[in-house]
Amino acid sequence: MADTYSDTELVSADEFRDSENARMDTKLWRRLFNYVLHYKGHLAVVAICGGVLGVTEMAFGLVTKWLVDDIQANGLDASLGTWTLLIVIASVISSVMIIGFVFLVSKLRAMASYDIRMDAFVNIQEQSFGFFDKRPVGWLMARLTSDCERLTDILTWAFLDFVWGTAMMLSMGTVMLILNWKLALCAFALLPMIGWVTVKFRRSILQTAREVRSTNSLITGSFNESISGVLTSKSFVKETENLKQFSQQTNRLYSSSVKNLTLSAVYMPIMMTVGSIATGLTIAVGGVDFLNGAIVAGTLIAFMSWMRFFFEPVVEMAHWFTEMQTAQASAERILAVMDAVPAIDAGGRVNPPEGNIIGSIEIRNVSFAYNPPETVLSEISLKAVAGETVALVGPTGGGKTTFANIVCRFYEPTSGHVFVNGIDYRQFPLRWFRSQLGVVLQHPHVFSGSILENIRYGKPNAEDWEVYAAARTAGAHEFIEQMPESYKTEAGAGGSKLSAGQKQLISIARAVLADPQVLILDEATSSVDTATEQHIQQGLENLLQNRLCFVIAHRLSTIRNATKIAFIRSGRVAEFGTHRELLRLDGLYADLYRQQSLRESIESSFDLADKTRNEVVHAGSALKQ
Amino acid sequence: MNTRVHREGRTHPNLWSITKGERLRYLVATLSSTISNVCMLGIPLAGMYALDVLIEGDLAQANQFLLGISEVVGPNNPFTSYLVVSAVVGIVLTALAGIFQFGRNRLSAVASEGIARKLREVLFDRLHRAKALFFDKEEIGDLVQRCTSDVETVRRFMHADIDSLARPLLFLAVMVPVLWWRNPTLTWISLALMPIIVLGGIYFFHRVSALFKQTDEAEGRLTAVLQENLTGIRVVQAFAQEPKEFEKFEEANRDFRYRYIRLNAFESVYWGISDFVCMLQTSIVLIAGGYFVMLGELSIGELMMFTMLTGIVIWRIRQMIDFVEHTGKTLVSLRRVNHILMAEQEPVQPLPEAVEVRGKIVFENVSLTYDSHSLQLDEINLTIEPGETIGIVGRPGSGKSTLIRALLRFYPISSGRILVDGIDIDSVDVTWLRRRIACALQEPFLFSKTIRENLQFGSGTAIDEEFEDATRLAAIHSTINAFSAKFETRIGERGVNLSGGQRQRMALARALVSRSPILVLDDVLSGVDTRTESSILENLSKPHRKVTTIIIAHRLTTIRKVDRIVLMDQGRIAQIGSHEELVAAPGPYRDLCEIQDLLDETIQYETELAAHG
Repeated sequence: MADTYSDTELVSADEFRDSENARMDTKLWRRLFNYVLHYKGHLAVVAICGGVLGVTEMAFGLVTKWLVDDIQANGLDASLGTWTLLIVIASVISSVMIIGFVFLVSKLRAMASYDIRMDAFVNIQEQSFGFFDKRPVGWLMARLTSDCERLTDILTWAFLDFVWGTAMMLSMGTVMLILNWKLALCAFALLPMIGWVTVKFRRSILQTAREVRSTNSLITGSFNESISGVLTSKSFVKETENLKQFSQQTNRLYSSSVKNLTLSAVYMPIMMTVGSIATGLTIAVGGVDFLNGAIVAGTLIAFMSWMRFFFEPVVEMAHWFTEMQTAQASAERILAVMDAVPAIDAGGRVNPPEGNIIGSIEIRNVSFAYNPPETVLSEISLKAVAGETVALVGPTGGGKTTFANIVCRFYEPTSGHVFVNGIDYRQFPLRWFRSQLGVVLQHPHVFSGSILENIRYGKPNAEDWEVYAAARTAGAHEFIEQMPESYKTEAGAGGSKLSAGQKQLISIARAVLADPQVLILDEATSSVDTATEQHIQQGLENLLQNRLCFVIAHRLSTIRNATKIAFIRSGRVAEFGTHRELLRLDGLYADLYRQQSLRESIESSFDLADKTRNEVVHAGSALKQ
Repeated sequence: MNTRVHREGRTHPNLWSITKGERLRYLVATLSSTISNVCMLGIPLAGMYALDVLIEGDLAQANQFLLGISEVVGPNNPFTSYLVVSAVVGIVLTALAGIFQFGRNRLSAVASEGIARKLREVLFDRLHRAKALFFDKEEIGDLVQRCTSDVETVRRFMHADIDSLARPLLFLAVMVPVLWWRNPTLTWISLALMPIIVLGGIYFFHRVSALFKQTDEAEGRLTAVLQENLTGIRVVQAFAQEPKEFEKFEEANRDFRYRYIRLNAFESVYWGISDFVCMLQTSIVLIAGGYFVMLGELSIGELMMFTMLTGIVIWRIRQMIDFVEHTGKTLVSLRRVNHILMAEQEPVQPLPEAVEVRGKIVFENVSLTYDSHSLQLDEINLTIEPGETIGIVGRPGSGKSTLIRALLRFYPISSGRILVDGIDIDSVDVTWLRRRIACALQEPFLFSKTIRENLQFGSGTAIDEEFEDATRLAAIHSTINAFSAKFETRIGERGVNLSGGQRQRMALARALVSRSPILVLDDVLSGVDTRTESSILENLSKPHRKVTTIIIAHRLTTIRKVDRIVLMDQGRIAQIGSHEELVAAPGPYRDLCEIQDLLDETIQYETELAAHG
């Protein structure tokens, strides 16, 4: 297996960065807003609801004014009925608008979330292994879940609040100007002050919020790691020490959170007090006007009630603005996921061969680097035809796994070609090629769900008996039968009840069931005893007739049976040939073989040992003759 | 030692019990918010007096206290100075209300963060001390969720909602007497619709709680599908199953969208109606008050005060419904947190008297079963002498790893006993046992820290030479030195990715650093090439390194040189003995050796053949 020095730095640095620059990237938001804009009809209705609601809120003050003035002027003859009717109408309009926007904003939000998630998911599926090497699962999950929800929340509610706030401030401002320009100007004069206080506080709140968030994700990471490694911690008796380290993080979170909440707690009272200056001015200035007869009582009361709401949109919009600033990093990240160009082009220009038969695979002058210029493979060439098994041997870190991954087209060569049936495999549709492969990866993965479902993953429409047959070939049938619920046993929760060897056998069964043209086994039996391994090899013999197989293994018992052996060292094919040829060559392979085989054998004589012995006896008697 | 964690008893935490230690803060916070309410009440009152003074044109309507001040401040024009004083008093009262409001928020911030911190630490500790079996049934993602977002839900409740029932009621308590004093009839009218708001809200949330749950579950399913897909993405791609995965995801995504929209359709109707009721309440007060003004029973100032205060209080009452909703969610979260807190813990047991450290292990009739379905270990009898090296072989599922887990007390044995240096391991504290066993487990786990920090896991007091020594023994030294940051290189997600074999050797080095009298290697050399493996084994068998060693392996290379070989089959020991002993008696092992001899001959033949060209 090659050391992949992935530059995770890039991703992880980005994860904790909340766009230090306070500048808003409008292009980013415009692009995201397109997801909402897609539903123009809904958006228009939301805008109408918000606008009408804003104006109606102003209207309540106006009706109050008319009512008071009427009573003042006409006493018992005031037309109370008219005002009652007006107020009820305004209330009904407001309620309908509220129902309308709560429903539509939620719906818009859900639909935009759905679309963003879908787009991101589809693009993720197209990515090559290199993409996933650099991005942990948890990181990607956060993009499609919490980030997505947070962004659509902003896109929809901020839009509504913007329309509502604008409508309310404009209508209130206009009416106030008409009724009494002096009082109106008093209110307007306070706007810059409100704005200044808001910007000042929001900035500090933003900073502490960043700190809270980054500490929070550290804590999530700690929980994740401590649970994953709990047995290791237990076996080294590190419970107390781990807690001590964890306490440092919780203390940090405690102090930054308290700081953040305290700042928010200061902000609201200050805003209230500044707002009350407006009311105070109304009483003082308006009162003097009233005494001079320049203003009627109703107007004074209306102003007093308006002053309580006039600044609210400013606070709301400031809130959304900060939200956007903090969420800008989320926006960048989710767009980056959606925009990531797959390193591998999945489309194809050449039609798959008839009968889907793969007759040969040729690797010609292939070089590869995860992070250029650190080449992992250089100038590798070898060819295999149907019916052959190629074993890849060599020291750890020599590039065997990378080689296998390139054959599977999980990565594509940095230079050079891989020819399938004589055609560069980049010409074929990716999915067709992959579906002709049966791959058992170095780290076997088991999905949640039953063992049956796990094996069936290789061929979703397989009958039960086919699954059983594949399990038998893979030497897994026996242990599965012994599980509490046989094939229905839950393999999930990380497949924790399954040993590493058992997971390998299930993975092999999965590959066998797929009945592939090309089988690739990457240390697929490293945690399996030799007898079981022999059993698998025998089973595979039938399957592999006229098929291709690449095997990575350390055990010579596996390797000896291969048609050809490639000795890979430092990213090069040092030796290539049959077992005999390589022995005759008396090079690296012969060295390895002599050194190991003297000590290596089959560890126990389970049922298949006999057959092996017969073969060896045969070879032995041949020698004696 | 962390006192925050260990002061805590093992009771079932509930909303009341987790406030322990913070209750005084909450009490003061509630007082503070009551004072703030009283100040808030003063503002419309001051406005009321001012309006009445203006409209009646008579200072007799004025508040005597404010009038007194205004006469001191500006005796020239009593009307103007009264107005200015009223305005200033309004502003000062707001500021005071704000200060006390700040006090409340600050106190509840400190209290709620304290509770959350304690909860996080207790959770962390309980997880570490939970029995190993607990983790077999749990999903990591779910446990992390419980420790993070569920704790967050509790924290938010403790900060914002804990007194949200008390606050509007306290406000009512100070407001009603004031209203009553001015006009009892209108007071009744201004409270008229409040029961409807409260009862309607409770009824509504009762009705939609099922929808809430369904939406949450749909979101959970969506997350699960996504996680499955991403963790298995390499397999997904290897089998070209993207279209099927797309279908699965699309379905979960659509289902969540559908449920979310449906829930919000109900919610929107609720919000609309309850807002209507709130507006109606204010309107009724305005109209009825207007009528009283016409009758001369109410002043304009009083009318303004009534409408203003009704407007404030009705919205606060409606917010009490948030309390119902948030309490429900918090209780669910707390239940989820409790699931971890109540996980069975490893017992704290006495440490044995000073025992000579030798490393002798005895299994006496040890049987073990996971689920009473089948025996995982069946009457194991095995004595391992100090300094002896034991190799365990057998096919997958034959009980090799289970034996190790039983030895480490990760799994409880059903019958029999295990003795380490003559002490029944079930009778003493697990830490005593585990301190004398260094192990490298199957599929080893390394922490995403630096290499040095990972090695320090083996022993916190080890010095550099010991790290060098251990890494050399584990044949990982040159790999480490190839990294530019050497021992300070970070491993894992934010650092270098190690190959399977490298991880195994790192875990081995970590185990070696601890220099425990017993060394356990569970299939830890499977990803290492044979040449490296044999050099590691040679290193381990050097006399000064010789400790009691148990090696599980699949390659005979690994096994052949050990003192005794244990061959396991279906939870039993099928064969045991040294290589020589096993060769002497007929049995599976001797069969193997016969094969071995023939193999050797073949190799000789092949080599000769090769030599002669």
